[in-house]
Amino acid sequence: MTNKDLLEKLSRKTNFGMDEVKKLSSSLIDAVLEGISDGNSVSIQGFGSFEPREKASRKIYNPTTKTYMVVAPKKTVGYKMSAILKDRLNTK
Amino acid sequence: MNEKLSFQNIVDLIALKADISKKAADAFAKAFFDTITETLDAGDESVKVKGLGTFKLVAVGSRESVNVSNGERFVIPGYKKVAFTPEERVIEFLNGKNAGEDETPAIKETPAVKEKPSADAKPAAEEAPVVEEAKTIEELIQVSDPERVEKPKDAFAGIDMIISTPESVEEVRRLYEQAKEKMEVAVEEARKANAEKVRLEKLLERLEAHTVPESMEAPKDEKDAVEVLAPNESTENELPSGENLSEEKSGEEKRQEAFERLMKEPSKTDVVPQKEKKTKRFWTISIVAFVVVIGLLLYQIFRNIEAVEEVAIVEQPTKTLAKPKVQPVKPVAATPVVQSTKPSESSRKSTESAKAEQHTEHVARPVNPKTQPIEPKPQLAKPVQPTQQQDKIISPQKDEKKAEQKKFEQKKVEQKPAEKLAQKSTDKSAQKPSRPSTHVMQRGESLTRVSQKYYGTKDSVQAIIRKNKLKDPDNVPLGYVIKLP
Repeated sequence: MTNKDLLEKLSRKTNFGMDEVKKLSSSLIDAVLEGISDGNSVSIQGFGSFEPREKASRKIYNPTTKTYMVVAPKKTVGYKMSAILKDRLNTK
Repeated sequence: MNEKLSFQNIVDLIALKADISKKAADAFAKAFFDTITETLDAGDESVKVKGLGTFKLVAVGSRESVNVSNGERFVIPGYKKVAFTPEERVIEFLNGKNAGEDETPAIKETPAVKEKPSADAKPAAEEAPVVEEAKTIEELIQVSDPERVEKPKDAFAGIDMIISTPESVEEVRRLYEQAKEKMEVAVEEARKANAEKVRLEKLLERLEAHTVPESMEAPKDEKDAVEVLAPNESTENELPSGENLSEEKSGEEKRQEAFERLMKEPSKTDVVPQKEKKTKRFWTISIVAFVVVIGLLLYQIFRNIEAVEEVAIVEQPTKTLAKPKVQPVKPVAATPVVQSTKPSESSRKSTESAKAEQHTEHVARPVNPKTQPIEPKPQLAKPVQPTQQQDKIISPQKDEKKAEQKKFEQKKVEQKPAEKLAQKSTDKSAQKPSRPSTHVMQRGESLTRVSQKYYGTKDSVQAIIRKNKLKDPDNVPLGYVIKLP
């Protein structure tokens, strides 16, 4: 499912226009990401939780140049689905 | 920091950003996550959300675990889970912002350092180097002009320039010496080649002396011809190599020297052509003689080959006769037992088979047709036949029957191992359900397959890995003996 499909579904569900849906979804995503970038975890009932995760720096080996390189530590978003969602997906 | 933002916080943020009521924002956010879950629940493999990432359904396979309290094995059933991979942009956003926070002091310092000198010293420092640069460039141009312009005029002029400096003269000398060495090497090679030619031609002459007595006159002149050739070739070799190298790399003075040296050698060639005319005839004669000798040699070689072939042809029929004994082989289970029963015979075979073949040529012919239809034998019985046939040669017809009996006995022996094998296979099949304690890894076999084979499920893989303490379960070496839990 692409973003477009999702937005279309949303607009049908919520009776918002496509433009409004786009705007709202982007603001939603911004809100979530801002929360994460501030170091907070965002948990959404029935869906799961987003949390900031830090990847440690690591050494990698480039076999062609035969050199070791250090990958700088970086931050990503981690997601863990909620138990409710897990039940919903696995009970059929 | 490190707070847990609830759904309500997000809704508030949306309401702020999008300038809508909290109710509408709440409804929208609920709908947003509901649609994602719905689509995933409906069996859609992945949901892409622009600006956030991809939610993907991933199946987690069932696996076996052990109850810690009572050590019983139980299966953790497989399930589906939602995996999330954030977009590249999201990671950039997170790291970019954090990098900005962390490294701002470092970044701010560097521009400050750059700005200060630019404000104070720019007018003085920047203009000065520019002027200096301009000067130096002009100077360089002026300095380099005479050198650079004069050089390209003539290649020789360039060489003169190089020679004029003491260093370049040394270089030229080195080059010249190298060229000299090369020339010497070339001369030596030419001489060697000529010496070889002389030898060959002497040989030819000797051969001709035997075959053609008239050509006795030739040798002397041929030698001359060879001598004539020698300087020719040597000079030919020297002239190109010497001249090229000397012209390119040496000065005019040295060139003259080189030419003088070269000229001394070509002086020999001036004498040559006169002799050459005379020697042409002898050349033709020598060539003809050479061809004749080669013909003779070839004839002799051919004779030898024919002789060898004849020998081969004599040998072949023995083989061809010996083969048909073995050809009507029944596909009876060729087993190691047969080998073990006749090790002594097989050892005899190597020594006696040669003799046997010789005998069989004459004697075995009438014997074979009788034995063939009665006892077709497996390939492993090969070695026996010649020895038996030898026995026959010693005491012809009575032993034949004995031999037949022997062969029948051997047949029975051969059948037995086959039965044994069959029994073994049945044993194996019987063992399968009862689970052997070990398993030897075969080619193309994975631990999952082993698990499937002995336990009926692939959930026992973890248990096998644990039992064997395998460090690399994806790469178990071939022939590795696995203990089965």
